[in-house]
Amino acid sequence: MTSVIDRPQPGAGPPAAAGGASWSASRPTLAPESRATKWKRRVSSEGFVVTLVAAVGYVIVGLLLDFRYHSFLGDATARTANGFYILHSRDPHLAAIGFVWNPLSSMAVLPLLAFNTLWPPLAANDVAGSLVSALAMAGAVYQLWALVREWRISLLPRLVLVAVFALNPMIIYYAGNGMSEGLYLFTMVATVRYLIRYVRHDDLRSLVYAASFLGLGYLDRTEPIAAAVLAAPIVFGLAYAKSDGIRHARTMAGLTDMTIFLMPIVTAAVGWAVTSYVIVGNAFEQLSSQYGNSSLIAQSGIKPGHYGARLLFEGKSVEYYMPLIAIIVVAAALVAAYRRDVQILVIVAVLGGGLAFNLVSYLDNTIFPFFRYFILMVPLAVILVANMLAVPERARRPRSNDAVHKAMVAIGSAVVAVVLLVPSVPATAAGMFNPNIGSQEVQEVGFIFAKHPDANQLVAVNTYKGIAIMTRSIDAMHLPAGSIVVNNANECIPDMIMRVSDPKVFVIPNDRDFQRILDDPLTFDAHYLLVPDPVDSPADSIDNQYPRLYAHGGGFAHLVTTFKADGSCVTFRLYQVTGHPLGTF
Amino acid sequence: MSDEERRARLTASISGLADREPVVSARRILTTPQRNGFIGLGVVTVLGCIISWVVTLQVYVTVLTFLYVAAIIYRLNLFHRSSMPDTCQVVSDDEARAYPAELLPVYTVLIPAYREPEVIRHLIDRVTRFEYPPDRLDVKLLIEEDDQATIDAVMAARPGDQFELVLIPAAEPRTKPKALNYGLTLARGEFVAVYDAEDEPEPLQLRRAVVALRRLGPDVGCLQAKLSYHNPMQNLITKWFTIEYALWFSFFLPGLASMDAPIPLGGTSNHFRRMALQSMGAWDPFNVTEDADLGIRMFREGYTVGVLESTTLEEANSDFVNWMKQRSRWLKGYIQTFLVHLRHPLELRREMGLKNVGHFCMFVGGTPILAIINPIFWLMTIVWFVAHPTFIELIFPAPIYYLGLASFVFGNFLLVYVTVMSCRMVHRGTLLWAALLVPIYWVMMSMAAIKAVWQLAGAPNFWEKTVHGLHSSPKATGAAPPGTGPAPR
Repeated sequence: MTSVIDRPQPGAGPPAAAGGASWSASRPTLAPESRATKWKRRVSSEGFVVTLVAAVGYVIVGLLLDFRYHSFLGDATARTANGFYILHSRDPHLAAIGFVWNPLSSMAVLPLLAFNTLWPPLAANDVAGSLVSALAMAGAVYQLWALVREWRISLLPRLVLVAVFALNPMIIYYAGNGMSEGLYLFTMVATVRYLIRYVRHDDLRSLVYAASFLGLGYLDRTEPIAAAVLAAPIVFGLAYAKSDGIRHARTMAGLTDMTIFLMPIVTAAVGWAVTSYVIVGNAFEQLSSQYGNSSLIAQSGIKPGHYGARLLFEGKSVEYYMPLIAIIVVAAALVAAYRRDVQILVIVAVLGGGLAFNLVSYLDNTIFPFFRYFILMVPLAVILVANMLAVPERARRPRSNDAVHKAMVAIGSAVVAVVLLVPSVPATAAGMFNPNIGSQEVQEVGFIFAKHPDANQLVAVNTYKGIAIMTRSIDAMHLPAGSIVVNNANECIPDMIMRVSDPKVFVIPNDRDFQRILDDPLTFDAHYLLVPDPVDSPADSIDNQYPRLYAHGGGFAHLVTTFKADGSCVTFRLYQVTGHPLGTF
Repeated sequence: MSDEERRARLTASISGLADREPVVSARRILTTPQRNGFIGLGVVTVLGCIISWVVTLQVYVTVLTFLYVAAIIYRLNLFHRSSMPDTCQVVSDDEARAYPAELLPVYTVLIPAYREPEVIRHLIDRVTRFEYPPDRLDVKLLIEEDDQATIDAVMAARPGDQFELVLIPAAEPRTKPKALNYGLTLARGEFVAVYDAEDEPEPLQLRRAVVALRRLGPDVGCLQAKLSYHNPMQNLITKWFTIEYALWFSFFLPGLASMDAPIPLGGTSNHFRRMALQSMGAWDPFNVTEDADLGIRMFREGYTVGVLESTTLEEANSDFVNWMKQRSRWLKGYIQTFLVHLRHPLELRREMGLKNVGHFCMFVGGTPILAIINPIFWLMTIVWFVAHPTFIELIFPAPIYYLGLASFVFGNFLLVYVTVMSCRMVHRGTLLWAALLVPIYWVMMSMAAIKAVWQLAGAPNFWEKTVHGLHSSPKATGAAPPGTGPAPR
């Protein structure tokens, strides 16, 4: 049986042949292998080994952070906690996931958290979160490796490129700490890889994969929207250029490919917004909620500083990630122009787009000055360098098969990669441990490498201590379920909920009867209220409902304990409810 | 032919399969065990509702949700499998023409026509243009003896000697497969091809079929040529139709073929080995989608169906009422085929293997069943989003609710997505808007499915004739093309 060529040849029968293309780029059919040989080949392949090494390494980093250093980023534990609430809170239900943040990280830990009763550290030490981010980051390493290999870059420079990415200190840290960056980088790098395949082969399958990964990325972070907006016109343009016929037909061909590219992310965005609207009554909770970024910044009281200062911060952060970025960008642009290569547009649109989203957001003062917001610098620079070193589809000079020539090309490429990219490793580390740049990182892991850590570097240690004190006190009270009402949007509270022996003790806003209970706790057997200092936590719903509660009990409760602020935890007070709040009965 | 002989042939055409192998004939819709099974199910449901209607409905909802999820996974798998390179019988133009004329066998071409005076002339033209020696063509125009209008049109066209006007004695059921069976009893050819009256087959198709069938083994009982439409952009309905075919030939057919699954035939441009066809008892005159049924029966007998790289252009239905008639007939036929072949499930399993029984159920049974279930789920979802009635909360236990919601959202997105993809695969970006609007088409499908079930209960063998020639009506083109004749009734 013979195969049909992908494209109908002009003049070969009626123009509207309904049969035809298979949806992957036509591959030569090999003799069928047995399953065992296939498996053996896969497992011993370079890609598998690289990914495995990365995965093991990142998991080890995660476990070190979880058990040895007790360093937990509040955002990471909060995401794990969102998944935790679905299964183990007092009112387990799917909507407990909350709609302020994109859901993917929380959903990804769910299967692991199902085993939490067997092994509590999954939640209590956020091992679930670390495992997810470690494996996701290993996935990003794999996608990068695959992309570099598809560009037919030889072994030595290939390993250099992958190593520079995988060993970047920010990449290592965010692989192990359970944040959303792991999944974010995985989906973005995968999108770039498959879009580049689409550019080269014009095949539907690659386009669909790229679109699917982009849609998946949106479920994790909002930045992929920018990537979609910037890459969509490129997809349109490419499809338009490659089609033939009258202008209308070509426009439609371009629109079709663009639609295929955008449908998953648009569906993800609309689907999530609709679900959010149905369940909490607000379609874009992540943007407008009082727990969303904009409000948090307003509440934090941090003065944004003028525009110039923010621009300077961004410039410095970028430099710390990739000191030679300017040279890389210019060189890559020149090489691409010389080769008339369109692939660089894809790289800039997707990774540059995601980066631009954050650059603009910070200038707009809607996100915090966090070093991690520019983490896309790492794959962007590495992939731009790889693009330069890539073997062009149609080489201008016939490729010599001489082994010496090949070796020289390999070594030369490796040298270029080393010179341009290796400085980023120590530079990123310097940025991470610079308190003006890596503000979060210094607080979370600063103490690990400092001989005499100062207070700022010990934040993670102190936070852990503070949470431990609260956890122990609450455990010692041996309360029944539904005893303590608390708003878990406060930092340190989600951690505590995951570490106490009975998480059902807490009544949290995710519970469907939270408001009812808060209005009159005593009637519903909730004998305690745990409230933060309103000066530090202006958004706390309990404080807002009972403004005089924190100061002196509001007339219906008396103080049991004060948990002093420590690390990132603010001061909390545990009040015992003795009466009914004014206005209820 | 004497009257007696005609009667005998007629009886053979109608009852041949039913007498020989009653178990695969759709003369009866339900066998006794099947009917008892349905009645039993009804009784259990009523009892269940009396005891606790909540639990009964929960059970139904759970089963339906799982069916839904299974259908989505099945389709996903088909799309994934369809990425294998296309496996088609290719015979190049030169190869087809180079085949020596002396070696060409007699080829029977069966063309049933019922009340089609307008199009029969064009068909005669096209068959005359076949690149095949006319003395080896055995073209049978199968027309009911009381269809005077069509008979007159044929006579007026003055067809060549290769044409034979076969008048079928008037008898119920008045269906296409009965006509085909009758024609088959008079067939002389080594191979048999079937065309509809409005088809435009490609001129070298018969030669290609000969070359391909002769080089393939005897287990290939039939070759299916590719189908396409000559009026895809006429209106929204024809666009949807074209998209459907694109989906079928780009995804479903390659996917099924790559898994060696039973394939329902298309109703035209089938090229059979006559001996194979006759040994199986030919078509089932009581089944309104005799092509789908034949494909399954061929598979059960151990034959395979190949795809021939040659295109026949058909007319896509452009009128809503007409479309509804045609589609409800197809769905009715699918249900008939489903019920017939499931009469002895163990035997079916023995003949096909468990995996293929699964394919059969998901595809032949799944298409009409899903079309009926879909509006129920749509309605419940809309009601839920708007009003949140407790009724729905009660009958959807929490895990089933989320599973149902996820599969509903994801499943429908996936189907629209694949529809858009198939536009790309046939290089017809102009179908994009129709593809995005395809959920409306599904609503139409569901309406047709309900009508199909209704008809199945009332008039199971009623063949609702599709009106053809609509594309050439003065209304559509603004000016009557020459030689069209009177507008269709």
